[in-house]
Amino acid sequence: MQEGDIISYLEKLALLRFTESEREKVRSEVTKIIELFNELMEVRGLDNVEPLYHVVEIELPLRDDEPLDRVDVDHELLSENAILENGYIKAPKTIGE
Amino acid sequence: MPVFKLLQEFKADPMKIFDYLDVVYRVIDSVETKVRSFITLVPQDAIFKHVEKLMKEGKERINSMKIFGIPIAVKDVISTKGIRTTCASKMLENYIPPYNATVIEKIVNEGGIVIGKTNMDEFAMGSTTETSAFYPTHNPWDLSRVPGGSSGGSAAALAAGEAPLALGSDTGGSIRNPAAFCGVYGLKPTYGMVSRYGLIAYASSMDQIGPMARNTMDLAILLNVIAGYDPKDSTSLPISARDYVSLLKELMYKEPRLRIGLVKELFENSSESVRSSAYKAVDILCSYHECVPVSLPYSKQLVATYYIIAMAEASSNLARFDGVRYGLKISFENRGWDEVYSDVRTKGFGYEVKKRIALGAYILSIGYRDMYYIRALKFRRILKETFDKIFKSVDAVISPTMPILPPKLGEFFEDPLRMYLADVNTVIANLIGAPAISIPIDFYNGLPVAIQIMSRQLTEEMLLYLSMQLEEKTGFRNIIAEVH
Amino acid sequence: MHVNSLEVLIGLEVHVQLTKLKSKLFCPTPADYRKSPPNTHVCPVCLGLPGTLPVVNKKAIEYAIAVAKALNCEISDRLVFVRKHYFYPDLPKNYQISQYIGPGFTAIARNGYVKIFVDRNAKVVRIRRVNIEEDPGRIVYMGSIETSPYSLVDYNRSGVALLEIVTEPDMASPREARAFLEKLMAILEYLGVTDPREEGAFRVDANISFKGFGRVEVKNIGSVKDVEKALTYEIIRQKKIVEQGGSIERETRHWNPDRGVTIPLRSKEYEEDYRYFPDPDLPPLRMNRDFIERVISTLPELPDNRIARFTVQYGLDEYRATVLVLNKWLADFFEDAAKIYNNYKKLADLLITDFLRWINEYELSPENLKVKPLHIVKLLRLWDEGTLSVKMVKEILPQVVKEGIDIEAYVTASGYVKIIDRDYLREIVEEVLRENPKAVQDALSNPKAINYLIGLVMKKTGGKADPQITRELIQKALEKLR
Repeated sequence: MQEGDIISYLEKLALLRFTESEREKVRSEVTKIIELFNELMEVRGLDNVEPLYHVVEIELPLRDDEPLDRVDVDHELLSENAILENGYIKAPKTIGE
Repeated sequence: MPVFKLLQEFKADPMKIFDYLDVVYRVIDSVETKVRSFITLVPQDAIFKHVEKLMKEGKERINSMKIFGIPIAVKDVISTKGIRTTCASKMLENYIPPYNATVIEKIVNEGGIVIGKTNMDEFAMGSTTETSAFYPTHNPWDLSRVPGGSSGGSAAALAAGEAPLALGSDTGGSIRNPAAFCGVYGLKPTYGMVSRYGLIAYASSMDQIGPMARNTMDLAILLNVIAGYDPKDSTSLPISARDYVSLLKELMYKEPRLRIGLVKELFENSSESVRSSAYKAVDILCSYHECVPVSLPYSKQLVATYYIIAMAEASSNLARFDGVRYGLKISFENRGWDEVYSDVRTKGFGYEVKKRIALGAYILSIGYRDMYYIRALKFRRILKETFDKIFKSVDAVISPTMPILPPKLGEFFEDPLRMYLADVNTVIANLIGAPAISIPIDFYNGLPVAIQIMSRQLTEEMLLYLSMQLEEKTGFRNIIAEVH
Repeated sequence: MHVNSLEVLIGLEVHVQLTKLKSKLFCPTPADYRKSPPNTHVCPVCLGLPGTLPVVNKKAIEYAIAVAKALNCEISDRLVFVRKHYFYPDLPKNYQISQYIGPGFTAIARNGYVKIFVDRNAKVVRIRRVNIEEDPGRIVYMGSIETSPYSLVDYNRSGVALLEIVTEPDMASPREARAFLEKLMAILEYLGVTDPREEGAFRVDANISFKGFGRVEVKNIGSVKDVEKALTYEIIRQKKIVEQGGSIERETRHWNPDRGVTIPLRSKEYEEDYRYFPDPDLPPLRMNRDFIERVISTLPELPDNRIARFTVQYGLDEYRATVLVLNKWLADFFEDAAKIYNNYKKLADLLITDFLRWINEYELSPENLKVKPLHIVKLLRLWDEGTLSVKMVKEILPQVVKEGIDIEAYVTASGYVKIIDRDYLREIVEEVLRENPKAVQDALSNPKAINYLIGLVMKKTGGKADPQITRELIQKALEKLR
């Protein structure tokens, strides 16, 4: 575990920031939570166990390649929640493309 | 009045729906400022218009509707077309979904009426509804205390008489915890039983939508509406729909004698006040059914496993909130993507959400993934196998739902770890995908205490049966708090 | 170290859009978005609206299996979708659903190979893996990237099915890379899973290094020609650096087709960690033998199988068989012709050389050809008989290809009646002389007996041999015997 600036490391990983007032609190909480996580180290006999990703045994359902018979010409899905310009959605520019 | 009675009345005389709605809205008017169950309330006149349209359906159709005219409070984590859905977060403060969750389509089809979206912990991350970005909900039984979480608003609305039925979501106990703290019934179905399409995801491998109500039969009625295979959800169980109301009636008639396991560690870890009330339930059930002690030696490991998986999946599920297609808008002209993305998330997400996203990313990162994420999934398998074995010798296991009485607002603020550890009784069901119900039993010093019963996958009717048995003996049904 | 002795290692990562699918990979939104206004071919799922869930397109899986089989890969017994996390405005969920190799999950197919011909030399390019994944949306700018204050995003393309095909660094030159890509495109078209000529349907990331030096990745090249150009440019660029004693660091570059150069992309301070984990919204798909067999049984004959069959059934060498088969319509044409004509080598040769050249020259569409197999067969027959010489065949061929004319009528009308091909007649003459030694002896002593020999030649050529030339050739041959 990174000592020192773990909060900055987390901020970079997750692309978000904690405010000045939140920093101390989160640093101590994160330390305690990671200690809790480390409880799992105590459990023996996990080496040959397969990770369990899905709790119910189902086969992936497959959908026929039938398209919908309409498209969203009036931008009903986006007009209320996004900023549209000539049908495109405005977004920040990406640098260094 | 229980829902099944309301249904009879409404189908006989649909005009009664308006009368009932008048009552409901009056209650809401009088208690909402104190309880604050709702984030968004649909105005009464809009509801009335909807009911007028509903009444125009033919008589045959109306008779077939399972919840004709019944108002429902829906946790604000479920997409409702045209009705603001916020997840109690600034990030979605003005988000209006352009589509309905499958469960909402089903509710509307069966004549149900969505009257509002209830308060919750932000993005379902919390156990007290205090992390809501807007305001906390207050426990109707004691306004200085929390209603539980994360479906606190739904539970409080039921307890305060603001709605007869509610939907919640449960990832680590988020239906059962507030049901317990508010003295109502809440069921987390088997994973895959209820469609997650339209449920704004927290931890996809554990989330389930479930019914909440003031008595067992109402729970069964609502479960009948929302359960069932959904082709839009690839984790939805491909089984034919079952009629839980009939199954419940049948079991109450046949009264089979079951084997029930008492999880001793979970009783022992509870506070004295909880334990004494919980034993009342044990006395009732074990005088009829065969009860045996069952041991679950893991406790901290359970909570660790739950939070590792939940935070990892949450960090992934919440990555999509960048303000572009929906969500918080900030000015971004001449600013770069990385910077804006980070800014939106810093401003839009509350402290607890940010913390969990950050830790989740950490858990999944190279170097830590094997140590935490993979390890947790391995332990999860051990847990599942442990319970597969337990459920070979018993039909269900019982424990208090929460190890403590509802805490005061602000009590957990200083020590979130304590709050996490209080989830130990409830997280098991989510980790193994098993159904679990919270049944209110008693009051201790005026505060509700509940027990939880969990059974193997796809045996919801057994839980409903045991719940009904308890309900009949405790008389804890249709109880509404007087809000001071 | 002499730069020319440095081994060049080229690996390719190809992203192919499955353009023949009618709906997207994880939702039923219509996938034919190219002529539509922005953000119309969208739905809650491919927009990544909160609460939405993916449902897999069955045909996409079938296509992926078909391609994997055609690339001779080992197909995984389970298909697991994973989430690949990175933050970008064209990626609606800020993760892409794809595959990866890790504990309990792997690519849909691995360890395949493709045989290519470069100047008739065979080479094997190994396929490391095949993945199926979703396409992100598209970012455009008002004006130029540099001056635009923001970007504009169109999610029409978001969620369309992509196959990612990754090779080992087995190619040693830009030419080999091109040959590989051309064969890959042909296989894909052959299987009917995509039209690689659709805009944006075929994108290549090329990795190139000199052995012992850092690997340079050139991203997002849009055409096979550009791949060859970009790789050629890179080799020159890297050569210069190495010659001057410099080193090549691992980096990512971008190919600018207008300026014909690669330019470095801004490097990240940290290595990209995609935080892969299996998507909890998608249970695994068991792909046992039965499932795969069932999919394969619905496929057209796979290219490599057809090539093998051609070598056995028609006695063609692998190179010729490959050229035919990879132009599927041409192989079909060949087989139709081969039903009524059995000099397969001659037929194949004509088809893959002049015939194909004229098709391309006239930009004819294989769907609407006027020329039919029977026309070519008739042409070949006249050639065999000697009515037409090689020269004549080459002269007439363009019209046959373009118009599908009836050869016999044409030949009669043009007066191509007699066989005047000297080489051809010479052979017949020699044959006749060999077969009739007594007649030869007679002719040697008696000049009039030559008519008998001429008659024999006439008989052999169905009366078409030009008598003058025949007489002349026989006389020449007899001279030699004196």
